[in-house]
Amino acid sequence: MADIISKELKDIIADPNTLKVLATVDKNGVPHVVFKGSFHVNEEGNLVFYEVLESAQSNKNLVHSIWFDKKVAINILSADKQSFEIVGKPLKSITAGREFEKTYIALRESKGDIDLAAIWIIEPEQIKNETFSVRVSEDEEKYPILKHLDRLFVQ
Amino acid sequence: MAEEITKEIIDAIEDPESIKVLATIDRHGVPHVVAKGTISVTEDGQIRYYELLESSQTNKNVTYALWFDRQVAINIITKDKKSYQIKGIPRRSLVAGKEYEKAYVTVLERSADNDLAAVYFIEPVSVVEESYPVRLKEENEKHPLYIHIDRLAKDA
Amino acid sequence: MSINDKTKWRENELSYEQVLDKYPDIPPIVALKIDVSRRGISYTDKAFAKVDPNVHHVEPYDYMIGHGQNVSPIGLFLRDGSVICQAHSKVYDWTYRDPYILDVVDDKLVIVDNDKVYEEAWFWEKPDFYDKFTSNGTPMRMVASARPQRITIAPATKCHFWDNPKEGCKYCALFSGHRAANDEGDIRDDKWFQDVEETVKEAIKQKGRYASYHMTAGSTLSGAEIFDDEVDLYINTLHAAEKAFKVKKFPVKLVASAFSKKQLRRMYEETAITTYTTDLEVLNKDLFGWVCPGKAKHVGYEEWKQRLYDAVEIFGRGNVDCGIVGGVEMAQPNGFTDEKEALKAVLSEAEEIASHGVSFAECVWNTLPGAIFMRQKTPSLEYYVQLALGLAEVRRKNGLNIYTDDYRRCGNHPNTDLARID
Repeated sequence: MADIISKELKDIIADPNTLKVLATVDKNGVPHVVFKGSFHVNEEGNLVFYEVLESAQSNKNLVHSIWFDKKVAINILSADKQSFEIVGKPLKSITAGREFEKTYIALRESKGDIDLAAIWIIEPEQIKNETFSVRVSEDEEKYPILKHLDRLFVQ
Repeated sequence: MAEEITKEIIDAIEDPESIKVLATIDRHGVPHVVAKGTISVTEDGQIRYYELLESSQTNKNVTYALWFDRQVAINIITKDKKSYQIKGIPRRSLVAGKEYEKAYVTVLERSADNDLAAVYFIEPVSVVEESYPVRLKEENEKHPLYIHIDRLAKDA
Repeated sequence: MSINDKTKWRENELSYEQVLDKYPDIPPIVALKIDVSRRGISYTDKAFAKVDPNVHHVEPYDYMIGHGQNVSPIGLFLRDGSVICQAHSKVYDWTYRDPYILDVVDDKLVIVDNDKVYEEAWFWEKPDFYDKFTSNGTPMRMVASARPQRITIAPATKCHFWDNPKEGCKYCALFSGHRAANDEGDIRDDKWFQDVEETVKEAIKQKGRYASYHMTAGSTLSGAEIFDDEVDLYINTLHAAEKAFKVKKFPVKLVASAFSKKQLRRMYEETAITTYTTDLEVLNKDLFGWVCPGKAKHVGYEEWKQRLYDAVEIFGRGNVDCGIVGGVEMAQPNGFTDEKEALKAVLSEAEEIASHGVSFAECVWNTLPGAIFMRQKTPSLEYYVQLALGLAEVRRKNGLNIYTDDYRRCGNHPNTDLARID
């Protein structure tokens, strides 16, 4: 699939002050949402993050998603309050091999005595700008009079 | 039965420097997650949030959850990186009435561009601290053998 | 001419797609893993051309029965991080079902059946220690083997249930070949234990590679009490390996004979071991007697079960598990003839055993050359899917762990793969 993440958004994702949050769904349809600081974009334009806790609910949910072709959602929140939601599908889980070991070593060098359960690769399918001001403008354009009448009151 | 939200978590929710996100699921099972600054806690321990955009996917999804007794999930991250996840079931949506109007005036005071689609009340079902050090400690205690054995090598 | 042209097997059972439709709770990728394990997978020349023995973990592809000529990677990765523990499969005149095909499309390794591409696959990588030697000059690959996330040491390569004719387990090709070999037997002296220590030390230098230390071997019946010598061998081997670690207990997976309480206590108190596995193989007393006559004669089905329960007292609930050869209950002429009946019987017995705190690790029975059962017919994919789902439900109901035999620390059990989402 084509690289659909813009350069601007890639830069925001790479900014250490940006918050990245992952929403997944478990096998019973219950959502789960946690912040995942390791999210980044790889050369193929896919999202990658490092799951460090084997028992994490997000880890189990991602397995369920990859098994049953389900989607996950990631929100990117920049320091200046821009927000982008990326909906995608887990493409691959790397649980062993050279790439895994390389990441494991790098993580331990930067974060200390940490383990690595999996490297998750998520293929983005849809991106939406969820920045509040942008959404408000969109709504104004689409539904110009869908507002409470007191806001339309001529003073 | 509702799960109790501690004072520590209430303080985190009320702190203007905390970031709050709400994850919901649409009727096709697709998750949706956005930041929601309007999340707060009521006196009786329910999560309240003001949905400002009628057309938002969140609004549709929370409605769906309310109809079918499905859960939504909220995560709060503080400025010192403590994180709490609250899962709950939307029980009520206010779209009119005094309480609604009071909320409407509040959101308008924040910005004249705001409107208010609904006030949602969510009954908490589970409350978990998701801060990494806490989760790491839990994993180490519950699953001490979830470890790559090179970490246990004599000269590691 | 395909095998199906001869045996018409595709007409006699539900296809992969039909099974997915009928059992929506089985992840398609897990069902594929089951089916590949059941039918085998044959590499095309293009797939073989992708093998690089400097990078990939290869063995002589019929290494399980001794002295193969060609090399084949011993396993595949799937995109969900799980593995298929299967090398290239040869086709014999008695082979009942067409194996899957491992081919190359758009420069990617793919699993194919009936010209349809199902999943991409990747070869396992060779462990770093494989081309190294101990100070005694022993190739380390002769001391230990590995899967992508575990190291395995087999202290004994003979199984003495095979010493008496017809007493070995009938599905087994691992040790049947050693009956015919003129090997003197395993020499486990100080030099060997030093080899073990050096190999393990070298292996765990590869950071992120090993999440488990695994030991298994054929059964050794000798000693003052049956299996005493086997216990001694495992303890001594573990003591050698333990020199590489700075902790007293670490993730050890031991698959051994049915030790007595006294022997189990010794193992637990004297070594790093935290979990224990002993295999009943088939969950039916009468069939156990037929399929595993040696185990039945020397220990017996009920006693083997009791020893599992005794192990739970020492290791704790969920830290003891039992391996079974899924599907062997359908072997003929003495096995079940009806899959529904077989499934009901197996799951009922599994429920009883699990209620005592024992988990299960089910292997998909594949008829291997060299096994007494090599010309048998294995059950349908539908059967195996129901078995995996059923055993997963038994585990869940009884609140049991299975991490010692899970997707990472073993990888050969579809029912434990399903624990990934619990």
